[in-house]
Amino acid sequence: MNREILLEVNDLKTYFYTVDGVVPAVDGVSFTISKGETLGIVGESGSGKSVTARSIMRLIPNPPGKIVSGSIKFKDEELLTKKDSEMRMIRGSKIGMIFQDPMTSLNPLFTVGDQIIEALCIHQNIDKKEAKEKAIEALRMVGIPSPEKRINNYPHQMSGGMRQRVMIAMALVCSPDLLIADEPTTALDVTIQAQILDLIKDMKNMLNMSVMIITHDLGVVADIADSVIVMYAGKMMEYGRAFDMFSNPLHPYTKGLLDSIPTLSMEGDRLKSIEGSLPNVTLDYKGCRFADRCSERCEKCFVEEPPLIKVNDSYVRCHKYLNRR
Amino acid sequence: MVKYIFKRLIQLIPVLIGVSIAVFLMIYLIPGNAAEIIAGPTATKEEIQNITVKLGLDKPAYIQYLKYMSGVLKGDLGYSFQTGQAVSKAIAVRYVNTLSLAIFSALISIILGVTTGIIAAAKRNSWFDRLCMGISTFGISAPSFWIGLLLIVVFGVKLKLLPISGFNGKIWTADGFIHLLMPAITLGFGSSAMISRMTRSSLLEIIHQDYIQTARAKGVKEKIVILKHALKNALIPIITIVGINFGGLLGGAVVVESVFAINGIGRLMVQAISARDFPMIQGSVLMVAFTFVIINLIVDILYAAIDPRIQYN
Repeated sequence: MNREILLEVNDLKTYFYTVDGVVPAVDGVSFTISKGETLGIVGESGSGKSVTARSIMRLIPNPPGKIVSGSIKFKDEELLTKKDSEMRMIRGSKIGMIFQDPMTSLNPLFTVGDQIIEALCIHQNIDKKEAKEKAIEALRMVGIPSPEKRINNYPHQMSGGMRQRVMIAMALVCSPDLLIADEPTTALDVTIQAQILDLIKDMKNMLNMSVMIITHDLGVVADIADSVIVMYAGKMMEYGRAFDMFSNPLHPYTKGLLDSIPTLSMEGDRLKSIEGSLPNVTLDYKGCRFADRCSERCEKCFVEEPPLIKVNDSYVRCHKYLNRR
Repeated sequence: MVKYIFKRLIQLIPVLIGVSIAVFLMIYLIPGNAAEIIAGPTATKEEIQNITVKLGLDKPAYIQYLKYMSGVLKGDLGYSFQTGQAVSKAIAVRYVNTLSLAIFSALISIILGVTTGIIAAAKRNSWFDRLCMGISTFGISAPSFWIGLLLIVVFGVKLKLLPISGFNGKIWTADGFIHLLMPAITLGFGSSAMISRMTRSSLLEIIHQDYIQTARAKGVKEKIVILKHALKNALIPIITIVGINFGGLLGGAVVVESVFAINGIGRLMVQAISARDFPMIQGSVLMVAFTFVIINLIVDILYAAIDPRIQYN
C-alpha cells in the first residue's frame, strides 16, 4: 500500500491536568491514514482512543485537557498550530465526526433538517433553499425513507438507528476527506449495528474518503478496518494491518483481547477474560503499562518501558520481541 | 393547544374560590373589626352596632361570604368599607401601577440575570464569574427595602440623578419610566441574582451534553454554540424561575411601593388590612392570585413553544 497519506499523527501527547495529578491520556501515539484507508482503533474504556480522535479535531476541553506535544498533519498541513477559526473551517467540512450515542448527540430542540442545514451553511456559500435540498439528498443517501418529510422531524421522533443515520448524513454532507467515527455502533442493537457499519462502508466507497473508526468491538474492526491500532492506557501496544493482527497477534494484550471473543464452539467453557483492570497511570509511571495483567511478563517489564518494535510489517510494544529483531 | 389553554382557564375558577375562602377566613382570624375602626375611638356601642348592621357584619360568616361571592360572579367586587368607593375601580388604577412595576422589574431581572449568567458560564472560574456569583449571593440575601433605601440615598439624595417618588402611573412616558427605574431595579435585583445563578448552572450542565460536542464538531462558532445550541436547552429551568419570581415580584411590590410611595395594589392592600376593609383586601388578593395563575399559564405555554418534546393534550 503506497497511497497518498491523508493524516499523519506523530508522537501525539494529550495530558489531563486533574487535582490528583497529570494523567497522560494519550502518550506518544503515531500513525498514518492514507487516502481511502480505514483505520480501526481498539482498546478498553479509558485507553485513550476517544481522546486521540478529539485531539485530531482539537476538541479537547481545556482545562483540564491539553495537547502537550506532537504533530497532527492533515493534507500536509499542521493542525496543532492552526488558529481556532481555521480549525473550525476544517471541522465538519474536511473532517466529519460521528459519536457514540445517537440518542444524545443530536440537539433535541432543533429539527434534524435544521441541524444538517447548519453544517452546510457554515461551510458552503449556499442559500437556505439549496441547503435544504442538499440536506434532503444527504438523508436519502444514508437510507432514510421519505426524507422530504423526515427533515422536519425532531430527534425524539426517530429511532436510535435512524438518528445515527442522521448523524452520518450530517457528518458527510460537506463531503469530508476523513470521517472519524467514535464508537458509532456501541449504543445500537446488533441488527442496527450491522446496518450502520455497512452504511459507513458504502459511504466511504461512494465519497472516496478515509475512515478512522474507534471501537472496543473487535468484530467491527475485522469487518471494516484495513489497519488497526491497539491502545492500552494511553499507549499504542500494537499497530499493523488488520489481517495480520487477526491471523498473528503479537502483543499479549492483543492475544488476550482475541481470546476473550466468545465463540459458539466453546460450549460449557467459561468466557476467557484478562484479569485486572487499567492501571492509574501518572507521568512517572515505570515499566510496561500492561505488565500487571500480562501472562508473559518478566522482571524487566516492571522497570523499563518497552519501545515500539517493528516485527514484519507491524509494530508492537513488548520486550518479548526485542531480541528477535 | 387552544383546548389546553381553555382547560387551564377553567381550572382557574376553583383556584380563585380557594383563595377567596382562605382570605375570608384569615380576615376573621385577625383581631379588631371594621365597624369599630370606621366609627372611631370615641363612638358609642350603639353607633358601632348601627355600622355593623349596615355593613352586614352581623350576619353569619357563610352568608357574608356567599353574598360577596354572588357579587363577584356578577363582576361586582363590592364597595370599600372605608371610603365607599367601588373596589373594582380602586383596584383598576392601582393594578396598572403594580403590574407596570412588576413587568418592568421582571424585564430588568431577565436581561441582567440571563446576560451575566451566560458570561459567567462561558468564562467559568474567571474573575467575572466570581464577581457575578458574589454579587448574586448578596442580591439574594439583601432585603429589597434596604436596597431601595440605599438607592434612594445614593442616586436620589446624593447624586440627584433619579427621582425618589411621584410615579404618574404611565410607564410608557419618559417621566413615568424614569420614576419607575429605581423601584424596578430595587425589586428586580434579588430576582436577577437568582436568574443569573440558574442560567449559569443550567448552561454549565448543558455544555457537557453530547450534542454540544456535535455542534462544535460541525465547525459551529463557540458563540453560537453557547447562544443557540446551549442556551435554548438551558431555557426551561430559567423560565421556571422567572415565572416563580414574578409571584415574588408581586409580593415584593408591597414593600417597594411603600418605600418609593407608588400608588400600587401592594400599598392598597396594606392600608386595607389595617382598616379591616374586607372587600378591598379580598378584591386585591383575588387580583394578585389571578395574575399569578395567568403568569404560570404563560410559562407552561412557553415550555411547549421551546421544547418540542413537551406536548399538552
